[in-house]
Amino acid sequence: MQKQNIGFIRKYIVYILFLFLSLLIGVVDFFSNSFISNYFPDKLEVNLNFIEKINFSNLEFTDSFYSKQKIVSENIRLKQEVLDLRQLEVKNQELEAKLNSFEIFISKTENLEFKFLNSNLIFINSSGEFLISGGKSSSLETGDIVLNEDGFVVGYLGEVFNDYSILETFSSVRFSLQAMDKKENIFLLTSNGNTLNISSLGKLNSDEIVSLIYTDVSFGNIGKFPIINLAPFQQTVTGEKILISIPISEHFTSHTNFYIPLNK
Amino acid sequence: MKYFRFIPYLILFITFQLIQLILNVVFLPFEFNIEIFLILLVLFGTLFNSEKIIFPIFLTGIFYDLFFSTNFVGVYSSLYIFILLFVSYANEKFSKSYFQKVLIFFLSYLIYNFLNLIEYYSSFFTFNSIVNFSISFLIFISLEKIINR
Repeated sequence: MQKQNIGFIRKYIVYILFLFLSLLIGVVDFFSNSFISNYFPDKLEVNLNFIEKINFSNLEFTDSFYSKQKIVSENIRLKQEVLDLRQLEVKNQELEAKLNSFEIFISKTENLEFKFLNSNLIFINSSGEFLISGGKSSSLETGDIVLNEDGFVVGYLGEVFNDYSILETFSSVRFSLQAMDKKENIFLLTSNGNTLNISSLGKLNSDEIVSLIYTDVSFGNIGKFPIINLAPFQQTVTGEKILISIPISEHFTSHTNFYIPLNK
Repeated sequence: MKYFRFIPYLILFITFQLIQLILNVVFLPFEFNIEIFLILLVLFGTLFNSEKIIFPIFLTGIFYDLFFSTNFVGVYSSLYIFILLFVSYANEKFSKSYFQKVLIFFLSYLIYNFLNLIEYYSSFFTFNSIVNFSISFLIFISLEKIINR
């Protein structure tokens, strides 16, 4: 009985010790300005291309003397050829879809002097953040803006790893972005997860209704990328400030194409 | 060799963690989800209640924090360990009625989604959350019955 009790207590001591260890690491990471969070992803190269395609093309049956074996090997070769052709067809379809997506994007964007990186959704983590392809290996940096097929900003990169990044969208409570309109009014975009709140910073330069807002100087390309058209939404003027609340409705799928401008 | 016994558990947990990430994308258009990693955690806490799995769970949490989240390192490992601690304690101390199983799983679900709960508290308890919880619970109960057989 006493032995059972000791085992019981020991188990919970181990649980609590590890719980404290986790919390301690969290506290150290918090006070060291995410040193631990950034250290390992910077040093290690985690590639998400773990779905390796097995190549059977190196299989050779040169030692076969019997016709049966020759037929079998020929059969395998043909099967492999069929597999290769299927893979090519899939790749062709993917490329066709990408080409169509690029054509749509080019027809809608005015910023053709930029180089864009095409990106796709890979994972969604437990916090509902999107992990998209493209990372440090593609010269991406934290804070790079991400566009949709229509050329509108959908978010920015919250964290960049070797070959993937975490996208902060409007639905993230951490989302915070500065924007400006054509009349050089500056706005701050924040989110509570359900609503995107837009408030002007400083006095408005014009009494006209605010319409399209763009990315500001913080991305090195003033007014280049549209974020949202505010004209259809109710604009509340309090004093010299303007407040706009927009319900967030994001519809991303695994086939959604994202575009990230590369030359800043 | 004794010190490497945790490796199969670690591989299992990380595999389930990756499957969970893939499922999040697969079920994105349907606006619901299956929390398979939570199911695994509660199953381990209920059936294989042992301190041997604590180190692999800790490492899985650290791995997840480092590579798949923008949170500080240690946040998810704390949550996972806390779920295990809670589930194993609740199972040892209370009787195993169906209502208590629902309650234990519900509280584990809340702990698992603690970060979402504090960030999106106003919109957390939606119809989708109830569907997510119900589906995950049904899978958990079915698996528990199959393993207990």
